[in-house]
Amino acid sequence: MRFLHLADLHLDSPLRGLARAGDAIRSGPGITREALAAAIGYALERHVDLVAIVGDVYDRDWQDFSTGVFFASQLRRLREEKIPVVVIHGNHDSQSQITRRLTLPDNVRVLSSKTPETLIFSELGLAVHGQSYAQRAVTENLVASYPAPIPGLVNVGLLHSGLGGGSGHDTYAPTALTDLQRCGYDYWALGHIHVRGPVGGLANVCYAGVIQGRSVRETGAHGGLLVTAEPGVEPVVEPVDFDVMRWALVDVDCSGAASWNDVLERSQPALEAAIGAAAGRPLAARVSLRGATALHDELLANGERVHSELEGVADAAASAGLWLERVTVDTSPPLGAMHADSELDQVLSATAGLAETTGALDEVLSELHRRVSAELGVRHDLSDELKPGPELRKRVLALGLARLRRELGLEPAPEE
Amino acid sequence: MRLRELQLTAFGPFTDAVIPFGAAGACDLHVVLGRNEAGKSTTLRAIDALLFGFPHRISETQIHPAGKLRVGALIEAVPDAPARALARVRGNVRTLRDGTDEVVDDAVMQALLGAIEPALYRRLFLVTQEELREGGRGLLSGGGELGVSVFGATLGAGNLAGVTAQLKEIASRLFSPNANATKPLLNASLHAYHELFEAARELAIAPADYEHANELVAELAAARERQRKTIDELARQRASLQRLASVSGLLARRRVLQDELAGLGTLPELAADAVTQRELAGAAKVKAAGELREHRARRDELLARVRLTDLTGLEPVRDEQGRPQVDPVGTEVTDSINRAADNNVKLTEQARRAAEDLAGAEQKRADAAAALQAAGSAPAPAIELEQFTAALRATLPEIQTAQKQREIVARQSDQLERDLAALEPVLTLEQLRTCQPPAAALIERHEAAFERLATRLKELGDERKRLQAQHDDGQLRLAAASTAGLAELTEQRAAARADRDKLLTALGRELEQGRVEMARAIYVPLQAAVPAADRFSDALLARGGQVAEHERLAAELEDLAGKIKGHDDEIAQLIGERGEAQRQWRALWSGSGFEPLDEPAPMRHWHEQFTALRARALELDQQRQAQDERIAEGEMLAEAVRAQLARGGEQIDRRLPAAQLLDRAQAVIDDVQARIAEHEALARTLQERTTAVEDAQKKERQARQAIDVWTKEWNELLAPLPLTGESSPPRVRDLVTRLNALAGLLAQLREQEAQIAARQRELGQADERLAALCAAAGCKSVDELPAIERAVLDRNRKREQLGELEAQIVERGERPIPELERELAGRGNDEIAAELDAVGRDLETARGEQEQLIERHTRAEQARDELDHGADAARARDRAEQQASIAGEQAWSYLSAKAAQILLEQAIAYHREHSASPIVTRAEELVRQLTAGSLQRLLVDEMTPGQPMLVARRGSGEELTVDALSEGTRDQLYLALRLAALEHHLSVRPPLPLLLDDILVDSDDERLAAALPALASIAERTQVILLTHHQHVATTAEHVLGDRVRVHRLGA
Repeated sequence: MRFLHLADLHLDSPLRGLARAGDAIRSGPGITREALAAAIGYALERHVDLVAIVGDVYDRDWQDFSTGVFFASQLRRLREEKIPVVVIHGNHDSQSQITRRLTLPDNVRVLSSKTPETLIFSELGLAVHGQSYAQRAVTENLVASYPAPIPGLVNVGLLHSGLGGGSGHDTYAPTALTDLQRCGYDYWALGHIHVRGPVGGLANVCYAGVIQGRSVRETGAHGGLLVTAEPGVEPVVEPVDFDVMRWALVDVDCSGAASWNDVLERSQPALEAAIGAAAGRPLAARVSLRGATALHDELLANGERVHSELEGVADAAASAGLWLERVTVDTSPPLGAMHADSELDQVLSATAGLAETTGALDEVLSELHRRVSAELGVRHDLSDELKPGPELRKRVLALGLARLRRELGLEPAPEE
Repeated sequence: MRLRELQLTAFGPFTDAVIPFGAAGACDLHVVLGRNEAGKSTTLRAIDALLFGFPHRISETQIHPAGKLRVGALIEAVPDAPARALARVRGNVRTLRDGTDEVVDDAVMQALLGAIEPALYRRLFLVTQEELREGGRGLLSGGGELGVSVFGATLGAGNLAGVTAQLKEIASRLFSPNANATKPLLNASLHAYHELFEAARELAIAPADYEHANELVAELAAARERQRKTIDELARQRASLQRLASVSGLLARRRVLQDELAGLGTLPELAADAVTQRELAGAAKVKAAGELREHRARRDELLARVRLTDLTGLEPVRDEQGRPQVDPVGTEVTDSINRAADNNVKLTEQARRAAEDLAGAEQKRADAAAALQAAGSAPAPAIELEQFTAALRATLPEIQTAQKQREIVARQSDQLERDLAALEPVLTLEQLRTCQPPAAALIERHEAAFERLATRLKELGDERKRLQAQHDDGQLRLAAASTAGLAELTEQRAAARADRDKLLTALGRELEQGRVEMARAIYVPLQAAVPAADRFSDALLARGGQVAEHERLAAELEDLAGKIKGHDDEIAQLIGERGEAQRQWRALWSGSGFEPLDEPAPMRHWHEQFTALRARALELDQQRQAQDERIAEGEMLAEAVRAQLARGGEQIDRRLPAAQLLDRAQAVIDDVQARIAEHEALARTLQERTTAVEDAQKKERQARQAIDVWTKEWNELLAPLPLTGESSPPRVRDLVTRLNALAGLLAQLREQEAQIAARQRELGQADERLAALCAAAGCKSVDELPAIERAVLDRNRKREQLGELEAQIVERGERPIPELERELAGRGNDEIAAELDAVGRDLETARGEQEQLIERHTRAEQARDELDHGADAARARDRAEQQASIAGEQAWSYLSAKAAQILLEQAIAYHREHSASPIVTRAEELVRQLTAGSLQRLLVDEMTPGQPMLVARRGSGEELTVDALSEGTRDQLYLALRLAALEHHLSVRPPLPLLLDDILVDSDDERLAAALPALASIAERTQVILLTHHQHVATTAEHVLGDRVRVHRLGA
């Protein structure tokens, strides 16, 4: 018996951070739709016995019914091949208007939100247990009420939960691994956490992860899991990639780099490795330059130039599309190479610590954050990124120092 | 750190040019005068390249290619410390070299520079005319604000106010915190995000709208389904009526046929082929009777032929009727008998021929034995003679060649002796073999040493002549530069100064002691003494150039005399070295057994010839020896041949040439070989004929054995046959032929008897079939059968018609006949037609309604589908996010500009508070000097709280804000601040060369003369290099500063 475990489709969710990608990536039906279509195509091609979708089909704040129509149309493809689908709702789609009004084809069963429900597929020798969310924030341990396994069948539990929390996601339907094990099911198909893979080293408790990465927070391969199970035997779980583009964090070690050429030469293999890992898909990469280098100030002071130069390297390295989402200069100056001898740096290091300086800067940060969060909303990534605090202030001060040195001609632009 | 000497070894227009800055002294001020602006700028770039390396792109390649560029220097870590020679070459790594061109770690240079960064050095220690102007403008744009002015000068940053304003401008172009602002880029991006997000919402389908549209579609679909069912029912009714209309006539015909069948009464059921069976049985009976008669006649004829057959030599068995019974001899046995008879003929012939061949062979063998006996025994072979003859023949060409070469070698030896006699110095053949001259390389080394000494002596001689000429010329010019009156003037100035100083001392003493009257008395002569001393000073100053020229010429002459003496010393030393070289030359040849010439140069040629001649002599000796050996070997072989011939009884004269000797030997060898061959041929013939006799005997035996075998097989073959009497092959062949003919007749007789029995059986069977047909038809005679058969056929046809009719009724009526009869009951054709018309009309109406429903349903589906814009809304939202990303980049750009602005403003304030005061104090002194006293004081005006301003005060007490100063004065003020800040810097940092790029070029003469002492005061703390291409700057510097400045003129 084989089934496809999917979760966190977040259909029509936007790509974040691609300021410079142009319209190429935004043409076509949209990458989350393409990813779902690929997953359905895979299920048909491999003739799986069932498809399980473990919550968060849509973004919470997204109300375009077209998204639902598309979702239903994809599930109808499975109906034509008589492949059943079991769905539970998660924190994002539990209260969605789309969820409430969308009529799904008759091969789809949405599990109840009132109480745990069990579906038995006798011809498959399969029992599926699960419960949808009734509202966005479910704070009780749903697993406590899940039914006992049915002997002689493969028992699969569907659960949308962050388990114990601590992964950067809101903790809903909290539970513990021991609770899951106590149920005695053959496999736990989990949703909510966007990273794919087993939990706590248990091969039969797995998150399918988000079907398609949408920002640099969701790097690497994404898709779902193909599960082959027999009663009483540990299931075989194979990851299957359905994503149509990838995100990557590319670290470039610039330790000891003495020239811009050094930096660019080191960037190339790092970018090529990321391109190789994307296996022919378009790639959006955030490049982080790291390590102690004498170029630290120069790189920091010429951010735009750094970005352009690396774009050149990226263009040369990539055959499919490759966008630099951002280039961050996280280098440090070499030990003992501070500008201690310069009057300016003595004055600046004293100035940077003055209450007048930090006060003025904090005011600037607050003004900016107020404006940005007013326009984009407080939950927006950019609002979050610009949230005032010591870390942000420190980073802005470092950038400001570098920029000032450049403006004063103490940090020359690199030779053309 | 300072430069003692700058070496422009290969850079721009310079080749091996040197600027000798010399020791630091009390005042380390240098004016470097370039021929033009290019030379000056090139020098600045050369110093930069020396200290920090060549840039990747460089323009100073007019003469020297980029790969050959080199700038060097003698560098002192601190003034007057031992200088270190360092040079910079072009390249990516290992570009710093020492005096021996060994690579030096860059850290050495960085240590000398106090690890200052290149950009910072250029900012602090390079002042250009452009910076001064920019600095002046900065003072103006900063409104003379104290912090901006002083910090800007401290950084060498020129217009600091401009930097602040620019950062503000950048930040304001990016963002405004004002909620209503839309112009700044970030505000615009946020606004665009908002609009794009709203557009996405507009494009989205509201779930309720879609749901309503979907409900309408579902309702219409249900209505369509209901209408479809109504139409189906009407169509069913119409089909039923049409069915009944089509079968009502057929049912009537069926009833008529059923009546006719009843009228035929009872008839037998005959087989369908009853008529055919009857006709076939009659025909079979007639045919069998005819054939029976024919077979009986044939049988009687065959019986008569058997009775007439001859049975002589045959022994047949007979049956109970006395007829012979024989089997034919099979084809296989017949063929075997025929083959055996043919074989018997061939074998008899073969035995006869074998006996004849044997007799012939025995006769030939007897003839050959007689011939061999007559020939006697075989001669012995001449093996040794053949071997020696072959060896002599093989070596004969080499011997002849060796004899010819001997003559050539003799001629070459004569030529070698002649060549030896022609050598200078001459050499005998014996010396050629024994002499051991030194190696050629040693001779060349001595030759090079001789040549180097000679060349250097010549160079020194030429150089000395040139120096002597310069010296003579210098003496003439010195004599011409008159210094008459100068000594007197100097003495007068000293006397005047002594008077003035004496009066000043006295005045001081009187004032100290409070004797005012006495002091007044002294003050009067002092008023006269001071101008007097100044007059003499001015006069001396005016003639300063003349004195300096005289002194320079005297120094030059002294320098030249020193150089000439140095040359004389070196020449004397070289002559000594030459004597020593000649002694070593002779010592080199002492063990060679040969006396060389005095100079190595001709001996090098001699040595080359000697080496070639010795090689030739050696080669000739080797050739001669090889030829002698070859000739002796030939003579030895000829002697061996002659000895062998003599042993055979043939005496040969020793004088006979080798070729003829070979011919004679070959004739003897050929004769012996011919005789041996003849004897061998006779022996071979006898052997061959003996073998032939043996073969013939064997064949004769085989022929006889073959006949015996045949006889045995023949008898075995005939044994089973019923034959009697003689068994010769021809008789046996005849008996077999007759036996087979009899067997054939008997077989035909048996066939005819079988045919007769078969025809009799067929006649019986035909009678039985006819009797059975009569029984089936219920008659007694075969003649009655045809009438009965016709009546049955008519009845059967009517039955078939009825069946076909009923099948047609069921097919059209689609029901069993009784059911159709029931449906139709009570209705005629007209009634059914009327009902059909009514149903047809209803159906047409229903279909019209159905079309309308389909159209409405399609429209509703389209309307619903049009609501779905696919991913348009999602794409719009994606674009909004892209705008948010752009806003993110703008936000960071804004923050960096804003942070830079805040840092700069705070830094200015911090510096103003902590460091400005001592810099302003020193700048006041400097500006006084730089403006030649035009500005006396530099004050800080604190009238506006938190914004102290610089104010300059004239000697007259007039106070001027920065904007009230002339442009030139403002530049001077900036320079004063700049130099004061640099001095402040040097108070805590190690000194580095200060480079001034023609900064005084725009000053008038008065200000130029006033500014130079200010530079000299800086030069007391660090090396100051003022580069200019204006002669008057250099001249004025020398005039004003005297020995406190050193002027260097660049020569490209």
